[in-house]
Amino acid sequence: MKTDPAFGNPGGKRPLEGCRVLIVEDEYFQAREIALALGRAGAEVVGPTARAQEVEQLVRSGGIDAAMLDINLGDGASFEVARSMRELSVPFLFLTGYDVSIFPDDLSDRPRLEKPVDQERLIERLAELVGAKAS
Amino acid sequence: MKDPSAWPPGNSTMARRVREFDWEGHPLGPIADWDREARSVLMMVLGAPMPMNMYLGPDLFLLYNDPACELFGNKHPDALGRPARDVFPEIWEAMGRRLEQVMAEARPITAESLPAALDRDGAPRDAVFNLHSTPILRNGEGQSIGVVTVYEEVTEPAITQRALRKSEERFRQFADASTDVIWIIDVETGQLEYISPAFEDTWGVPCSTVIEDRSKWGQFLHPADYERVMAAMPGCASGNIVTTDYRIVRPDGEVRHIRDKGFPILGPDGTLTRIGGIARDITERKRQEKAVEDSERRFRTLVEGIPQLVWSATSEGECKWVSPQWTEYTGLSLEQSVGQGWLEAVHPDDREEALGDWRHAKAGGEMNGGWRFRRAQDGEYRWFQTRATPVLERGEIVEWLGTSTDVEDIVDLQERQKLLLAELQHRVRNLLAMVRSIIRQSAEGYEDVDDYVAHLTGRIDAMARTQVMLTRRAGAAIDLESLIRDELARVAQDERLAMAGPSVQLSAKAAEVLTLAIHELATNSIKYGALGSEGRLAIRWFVTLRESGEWLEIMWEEKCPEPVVEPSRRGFGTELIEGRVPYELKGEGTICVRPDGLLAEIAFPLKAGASILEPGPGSDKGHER
Repeated sequence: MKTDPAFGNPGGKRPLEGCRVLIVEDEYFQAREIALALGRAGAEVVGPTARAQEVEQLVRSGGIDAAMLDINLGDGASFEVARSMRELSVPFLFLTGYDVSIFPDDLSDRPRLEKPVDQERLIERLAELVGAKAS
Repeated sequence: MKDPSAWPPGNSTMARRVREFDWEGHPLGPIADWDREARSVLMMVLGAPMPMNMYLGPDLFLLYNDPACELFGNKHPDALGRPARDVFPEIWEAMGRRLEQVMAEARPITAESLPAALDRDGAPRDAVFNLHSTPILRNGEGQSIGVVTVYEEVTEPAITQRALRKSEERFRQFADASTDVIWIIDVETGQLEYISPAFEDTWGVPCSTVIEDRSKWGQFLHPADYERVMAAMPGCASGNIVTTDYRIVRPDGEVRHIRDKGFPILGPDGTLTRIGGIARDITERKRQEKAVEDSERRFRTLVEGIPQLVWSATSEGECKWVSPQWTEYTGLSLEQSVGQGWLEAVHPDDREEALGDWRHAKAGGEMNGGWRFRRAQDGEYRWFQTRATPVLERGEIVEWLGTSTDVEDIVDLQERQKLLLAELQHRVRNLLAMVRSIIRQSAEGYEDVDDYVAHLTGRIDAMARTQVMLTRRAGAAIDLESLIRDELARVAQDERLAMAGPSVQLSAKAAEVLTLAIHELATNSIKYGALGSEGRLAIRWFVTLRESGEWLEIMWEEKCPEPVVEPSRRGFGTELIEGRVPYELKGEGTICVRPDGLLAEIAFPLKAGASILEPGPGSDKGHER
């Protein structure tokens, strides 16, 4: 990884500067960790939340540049949140412990990261999502 | 040179007499000098089985054969060599005229229905003959040198006897060739008049055994059948047709099954003279009948015993038979199922495919389909694996035999297995992610490594205990009181501890969150609170009804004799209760440190689910294939 001489460490990079990123994650500690990491990367974190209804409201209120989704919100695997995000054209990626086989066909082409995830990699992929949307 | 006295050859009476006759002194002269034609005809006459005469020369000297002797009565043997006129003066007028005509015209003449008084065996009687007279021609043409006459007796008794002899002969041929045992009993003597040779094959004893003594027949009867057969036998004698099935035991020990049909034979005056019978060996038929019966019973038992639905179809794929299980499952009777009727039980969405599978089967010689059949009992459509094999006869498909196996449960299990595997992966990865988080969280605020390791180990152990309980069996719910006791068992003495609350079953998720929270509260209590001093700990819980449903409320209350020191920073326990409980259980959590102790309150909605390890009643039935 390229080191930014101005800050002297990779953590000093802020690839998500100014981006509003929604975190949908069932696990409290993992959500908190990701929120901290994204915050350090410059993102304005929306959430985190584990409530599907809340996600719906947050997405509909707009202004979200990208989202990170766990597909298990306490009730087993669910893809409804993902489908409503696709409908509203919010770029998102899955972060999940589930194997690829459980994904329905219509969502199998979405970017997917498996737990436990490397935080830098997560930030990179989110930055790609934001970049793809901007361009 | 042949000895002239040795001619004509033959052993018959008349051949001998002709040889010994003194032809030297006779007008016809020595036989050796006779015309060749005369000698040939003589040979034929002497060898013939029917009466024949020949008349030679202008005086019609008489020669005849053995069968003709009977016609001549006491005229024989003097008639030989004498003129016919002298032998038959009483009928000469007609006879002479006929013979003269044959000689003169050199053509055959038949005289029909000529009456003749016969002196047969010394008893004179009237007889009727057809006479066929043929000229004997020198060199086969021209001049007649004599006449040959064949006698055909047409007197009634003769005809009847001839017919009878023929009929008897035919009967014998049939009877002798028959594989059935044909027997005739003479009623007067009570003995066997006839029994066909098949008896020897069937009974394994010579016919003579029973011909000599008919009662010996009884000793071959199977002891179990003896009484019955003996009782049935008089039926024939009273004029009935009696059919009896019985077994015989042959001398070689073999048992055979016999079907014996006896019938009365009446004489000309209508009285019973004989009893006839036909005994057939039906051992092989019995064996085959039993084999077919056994085979059918086995098939039926198999078909009705197996859980599969069994059926057969024509080579055109039209149903023609269904097992009782089919009818029981689908509610369609055989009549309703035949032809295309069975399609009624197939899920409407699968019918096209079913018909397609059949078309393919006819072309490919095998049939394998997966369709849903409707269960009549509750209307549920269940997945079946349907297979059929063609029954071939000389390479042609004559019918299809098939089974339909309920694979709904297997499909369910496969589906469930897939979900379980996915859930397992999810759990393992989540656990590792959780462990990583705990390691990071735990690291905050520890300076002493031993202390850090001890706390970390305690937390990981607590997580491990939850996992053990959750995975002990699928669908295991966790009892709240057991969970708390498990966490406190090693650290709290009973007299300091008070627990009260109803029986509550926790979901997997709630158990995971609560275990760690209780563990952390207990650890802190030992370090700073009631469990580390002379204090008391009371844990109480209630189930309350809120707007969103049932909630569980837990109160953890510590009372200490000395004032409690409040930790200066927000610890891991506080995170668990005030952060994780609201976040993951959609509940509420507070910790309040008081001068005389501590009060922790945890509340969250009770709900089932959270994992497919605990499937709810509404699990989806519509499988994708």
